[in-house]
Amino acid sequence: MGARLILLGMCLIGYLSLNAQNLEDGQRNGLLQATASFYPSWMLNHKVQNNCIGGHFAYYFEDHYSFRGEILAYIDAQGDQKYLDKHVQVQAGFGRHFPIKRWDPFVYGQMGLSAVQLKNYSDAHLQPTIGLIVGVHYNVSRFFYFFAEGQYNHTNDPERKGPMDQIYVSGGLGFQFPTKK
Amino acid sequence: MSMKNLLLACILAVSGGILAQPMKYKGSPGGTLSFGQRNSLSTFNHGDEQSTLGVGGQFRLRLSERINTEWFFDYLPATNDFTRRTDYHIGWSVMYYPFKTDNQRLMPYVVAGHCFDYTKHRDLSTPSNQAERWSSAVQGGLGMHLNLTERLDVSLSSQYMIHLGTDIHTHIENNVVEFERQKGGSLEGHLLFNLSFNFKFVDLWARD
Repeated sequence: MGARLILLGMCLIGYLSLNAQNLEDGQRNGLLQATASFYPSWMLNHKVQNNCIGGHFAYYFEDHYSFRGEILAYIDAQGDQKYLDKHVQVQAGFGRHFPIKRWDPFVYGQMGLSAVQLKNYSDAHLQPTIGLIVGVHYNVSRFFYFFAEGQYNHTNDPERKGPMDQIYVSGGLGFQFPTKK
Repeated sequence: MSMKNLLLACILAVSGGILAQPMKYKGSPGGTLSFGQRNSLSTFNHGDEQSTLGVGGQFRLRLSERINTEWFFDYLPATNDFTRRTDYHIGWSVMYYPFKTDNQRLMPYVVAGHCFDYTKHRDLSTPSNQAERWSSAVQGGLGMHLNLTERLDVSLSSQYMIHLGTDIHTHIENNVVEFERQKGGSLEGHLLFNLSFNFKFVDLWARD
């Protein structure tokens, strides 16, 4: 077990030494990112605020474009007013980046599915979801970045006619790994 | 970490590097295989039925410079005043590019194809009260690719889809939802708008 870990560590160091990407020059191609964070949200069609946890990964297939996958899970409402009982979203999409040195403003369009069960209802439903994300990364080093973002998600209400849209905000620390020379 | 996980990590890193490479075409773009995700907005023609936001996936196999094919699956649920309607589409389309396609940022196309549709209606207050049907459909319309990069495009299309099959009508009788299956075949149409992100993976016709 110990020998395997040492071997893995040596492979990793060797691999990373070959992947000298210069983030300060706006180079992002081949960068793989992942993070997890806390997502407070506001329901736009109800006077309810929620708390969610979630995470995403992103892969830059060009300096200005990346693919992103995301999962968000509802924990509870922020007050006594509750509208949701369970809500898990899985989304994926593509983003456009506007890198300036270590800064990386971005916008993503995402699509996915939400598993939703409303408060006082016994059935859960799968609902299509679309999301628009606007935010910024700051690349602290080759392996870490800070991020802040806001997200608008549109989902139709599974039990009533009408939308069940939410605004999410999030931020924190992310991890990144260059996969290309 | 097991050797299996180590191998998986290496495969992911190498495949990630490959996807960040430019596309290598052998001659024409025929043979390009791409995968995408799509959102559909369906405007049903029944009186008080809600228009539907759907989600799905597709792959495209381009046959030649002017001909592309699209194979898709859509999931379209809609909640109405008394019922919940869910549609599943599975089908294919042929896309024809009438103008030259090399290095074009915008690529308009004409599209037509076939689809199979499974529809389920459910009473919101009594879920056991439900009705379902299978139907086939033909669809046709116009679309446009916006090529953001050599590998990534955003496509927007508008198609009219005509279903051939027994239609299901919903009535409210004494505050009870009743589903009535129409006898014989009927034509029911709806307008579909599709927005998709598509990523080109490989040129299957390239042999080296």
